[in-house]
Amino acid sequence: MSSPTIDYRKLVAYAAGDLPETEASQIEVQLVRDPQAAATVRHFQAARAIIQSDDGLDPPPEAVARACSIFSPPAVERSGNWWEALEQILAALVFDSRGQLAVAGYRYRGIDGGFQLCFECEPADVELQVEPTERFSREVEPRPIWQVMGQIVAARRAPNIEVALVRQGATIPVAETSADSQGIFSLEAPSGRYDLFIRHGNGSVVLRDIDLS
Amino acid sequence: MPATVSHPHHPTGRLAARSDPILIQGCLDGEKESWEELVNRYGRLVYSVARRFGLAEADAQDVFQNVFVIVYRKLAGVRDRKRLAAWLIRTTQRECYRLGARVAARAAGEQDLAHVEGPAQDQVAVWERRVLVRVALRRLGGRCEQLLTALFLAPGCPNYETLAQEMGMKIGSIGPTRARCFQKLEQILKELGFKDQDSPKDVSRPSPPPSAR
Repeated sequence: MSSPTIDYRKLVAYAAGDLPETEASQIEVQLVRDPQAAATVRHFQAARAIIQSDDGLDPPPEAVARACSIFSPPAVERSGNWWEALEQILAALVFDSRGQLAVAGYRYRGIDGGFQLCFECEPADVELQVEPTERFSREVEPRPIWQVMGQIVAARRAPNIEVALVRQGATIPVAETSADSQGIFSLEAPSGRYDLFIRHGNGSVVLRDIDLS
Repeated sequence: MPATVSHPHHPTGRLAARSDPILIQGCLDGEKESWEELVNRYGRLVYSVARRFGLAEADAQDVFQNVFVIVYRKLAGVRDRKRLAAWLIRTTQRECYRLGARVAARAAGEQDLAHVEGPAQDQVAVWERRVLVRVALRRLGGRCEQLLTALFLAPGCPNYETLAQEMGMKIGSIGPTRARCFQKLEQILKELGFKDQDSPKDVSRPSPPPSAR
C-alpha cells in the first residue's frame, strides 16, 4: 500500500467542501493517483449522507427502560454447573426392569416400552419410572421424547432438591427441575444416554448412564 | 434529531466501544450493562422499522418490546453475531406482520393494513449502514462525536462561527479537530466492516464555501 500523498486535514476539508476551487482542483488531480485518499473522501461523504438522510426515530425512553428490564442475570448458584462443582456421590443401579427376570419368569417392560430403574447410595435412594411420550424432539432427525418420573427417598430431608438431566459428554442440561416436598420430580428428554444429577446438601447424587431408548 | 438517546439506562462509553459479538457474549455471561448497551445500540433501528411499517406509536412500542424479548431468548443461537442488525430487521419485520394481522382483525375493515409493505432489500442495507455509522459515532464519544454529528447534520455548508460558539472552541481549531476526529471514525468504521462499496464510488466535488477551513 502506498503512503498517503495528501495531508489528511486538507483531504477532510476537501471532502467537507471547505476548499476553494483552485485547491480543490489540485486535490482532485492527486486523488486519481491516491486510492487510499479517495476512499477517505468517499467514507466522509457517505457518513455525512447517511446521517443527513437518517429519518429514523428514537424509541420513547419508557420503551427502552422496559426492554432493558427484560434482562435478568442468572442466579449465582446457577451461574456454574452445580453438579460439576459439588462433591459427587455415585449411586449404584440396583434394579433395571429391562434386564430383570421377574418371579413369573418374564422380563418386565411396560406395554408402551416403559421401564423402572432403582438406584441406591448413602444419602438417598432414587426410583425412576421412564415412559415414552407420543411426542418427538424438534431436530433434523426427530427422536421420541421420554418422560422420566422419579422419587427421591433421602435419609435426611432437604428443601428444594434440584435435579438435572445431562446428556453424556455434554455440560448443558437438557432438562432441570426441583423435586416437590415428597421428593417427586418429572423431566422430559429425547432418546439418548444421560446422567441424572440430584443436588443433595453440599453434594450431588449421580445416577450414571440412563439409557432412554 | 438527537444524535444519541439520553435516559437512565444509557450505558457508559466503555461499553459503546465493544463490538457486537463481545456484547452478545457479555449478555450471555449475565452482564446487565451489555444488555442495556445492546438495547440502546439497536433500539432506534427496531423502533424505526416498526414505525416505517405504518404502525402507530403504541403498536410500535409493543413490537419493540416483543423483539427484544425474542432477542433475549435467542441470543445464544444467533449464528452471525457480526450481522446482528440484519437479524434484528428481519425479526422486527416478522413481529410487525404478526401484530399487523392482529390489528387488521381487530379493526375488521375499519383499517386496511394490506397496503403496508415491508421494507425493500436496499432499504434494509441503508438501515444497516445507518446503524454502523451511529455505532461508530457513539464509539467515538465525547467532543469528537458532538462535532462530527453537528458537521454531518448541518445542511449545506455548516456555519463554523456558530458551531465554534456552541462547542466552546476557537474557529481555527475546528478544521484540525475535525480531521483528527474523522480519522478515528474512519478507523472505527473499517473495524465495523463499513466497506468501501458501501459508499458512492465516484468522489463528487463538494460545493466550495466562501470561507472556513
